[in-house]
Amino acid sequence: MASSSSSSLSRVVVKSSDNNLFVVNKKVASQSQLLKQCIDNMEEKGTNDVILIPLSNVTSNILTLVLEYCEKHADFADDDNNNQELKQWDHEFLKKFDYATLNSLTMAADYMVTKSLLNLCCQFIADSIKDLTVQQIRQIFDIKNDFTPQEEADIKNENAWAFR
Amino acid sequence: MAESKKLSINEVEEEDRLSSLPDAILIDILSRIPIDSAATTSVLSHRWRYLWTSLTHFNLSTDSSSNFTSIIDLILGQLTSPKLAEFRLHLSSPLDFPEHDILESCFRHVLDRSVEKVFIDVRCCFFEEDFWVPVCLFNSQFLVVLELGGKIKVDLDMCGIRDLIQLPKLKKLKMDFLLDVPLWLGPLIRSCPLLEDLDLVFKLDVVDSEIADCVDIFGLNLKTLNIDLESSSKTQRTKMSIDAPKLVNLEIRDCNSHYYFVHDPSALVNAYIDLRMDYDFEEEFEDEEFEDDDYLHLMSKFVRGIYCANILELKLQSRSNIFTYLACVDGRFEITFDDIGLDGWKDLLLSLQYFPNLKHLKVKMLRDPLMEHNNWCPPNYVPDCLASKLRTIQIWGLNETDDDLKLLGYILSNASHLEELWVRVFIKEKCEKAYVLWKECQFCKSLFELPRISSTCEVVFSGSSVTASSNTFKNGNLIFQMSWDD
Repeated sequence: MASSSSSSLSRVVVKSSDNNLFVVNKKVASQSQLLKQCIDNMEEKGTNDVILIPLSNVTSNILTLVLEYCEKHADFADDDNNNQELKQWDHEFLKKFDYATLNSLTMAADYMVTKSLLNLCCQFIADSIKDLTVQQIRQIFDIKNDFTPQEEADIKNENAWAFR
Repeated sequence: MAESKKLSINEVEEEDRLSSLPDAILIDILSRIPIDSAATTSVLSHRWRYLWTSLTHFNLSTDSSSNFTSIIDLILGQLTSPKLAEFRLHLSSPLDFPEHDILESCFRHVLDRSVEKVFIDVRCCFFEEDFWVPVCLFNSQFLVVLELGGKIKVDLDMCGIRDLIQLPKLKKLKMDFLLDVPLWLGPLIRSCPLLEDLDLVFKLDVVDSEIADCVDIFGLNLKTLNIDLESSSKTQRTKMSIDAPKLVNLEIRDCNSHYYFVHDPSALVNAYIDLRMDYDFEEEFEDEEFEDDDYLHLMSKFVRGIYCANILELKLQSRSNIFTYLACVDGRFEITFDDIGLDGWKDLLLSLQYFPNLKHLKVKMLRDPLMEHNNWCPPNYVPDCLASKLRTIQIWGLNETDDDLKLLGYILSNASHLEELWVRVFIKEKCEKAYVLWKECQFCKSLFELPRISSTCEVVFSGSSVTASSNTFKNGNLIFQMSWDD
């Protein structure tokens, strides 16, 4: 329950790991369970100050993206999650990032407990790797192969059914 | 504000990209791809070596089922989780089904992992074989969702097996499609006390199908019921009795079975009832006397039971005209009525008396009716809903005759709350284009000149070459859009 003293303040301030401040509408911030929890806790204490939430794990670049997502989704009511327009927007939103950004975004979504964004990112990554060869996955995601050729052959042999 | 690098924000350069994500997220990602692709990630690096074995979603597509039976134990042997959330199998060309008991034991091993959701799709080409569903799928303490796709056969009628059916947690059951209306269906449904969502598709063959006399659909928790029954020709009518006090959504596409409610479905919100036949199928009865009073009587009673639904979409054709038997129904409705001639209109208008709150009406007169069926004579009273409730009326397939015009005149002069009347004329293929255009313009003009009791009513005309709205019709000048394809 929002307490009466602070509910007049409709905005909170979120601080990124590199110390940039973002003024965020409460409704937008509530898309993140982490932020929502913080806001609820502060309001329970009945503070009159502006609520400041520091996020030690999210840089301002990534936070900007998460907030862009939250802002869009806050515009749609809860029952609107299957909205075609929103789905289209989600897809276009993720499409423009490279994998490094996508990774950081996924981590941020996990950390900030923005479940729908996390789901979206996981599905997006899954869709993009499902038809790739092992070599392609290594290349795209820059994964260093730390197996000896013999070890690699053994594993392939063990899971031969998967490498057909 | 930090300067915004737009697309690439590299801050994990020193680490492997994907590998920087925590295990839980990587496993989440892997559980969204087919299990064989997931297993190949084991050679990426040491970090990835055993990640996939934590999967709780088993998703396998394979082109032969013998292949499936040979690898299933290999895979299960490596998966470390004692519980599987989901098992999804897609067999794309199951022409070489393994022995019954081999398949049965494979699925038994899968179910031993307390699977909650099972999706099996055995669908390929036209010549698909029957898929004999392992009966162990119908005896599981953990299953919550069971969806089966393909030409499904289940042998639950063997002695002793029916007693084994037990799905105490099942909430959703989908079978698309069954070749019979099997005797075990009713008992199966009864064995799922928590069932909320039931979706059944039948494709019956008059020669081979076994068709039960009656099916009891008994579900104290059933909220959504979907029945789609297709039959290659007229078969024995099954009596489907529905006993589902919590039913909210009902969708039926079936011109063959009788339906009836054991208790009135007082929680019903949406109902879609399509009792039309396929035209091909109907051809077979062209010459036959197809008087089926019992059927019409029972179905009108059934539709009457839906009086409390907020939305009823009823799709009928002249053969399934249950109106003559309807008493009073209430609610907001949309009715589609296929293939009636003008004399059918009188019946229809009279039976509208039974739908006093009807707001939207769609009528399709798709085929050229016989001449003797095409005379309009107005009913001797005006149905209440036409006079005070109907907002939109759509009519497909008029013939631009004078009688058609009289019918439209009757509607426009009586429907005082009408907001839109949408008329599409029957498209004639063999006529000269210029003649069609001239004829449509004439008809359109006469239509727009008809007196309207509802001053805000828009009349929209759509022909094969002319589209026009009464809103742009002034002083006898017709403005229309013309399409002139070659």
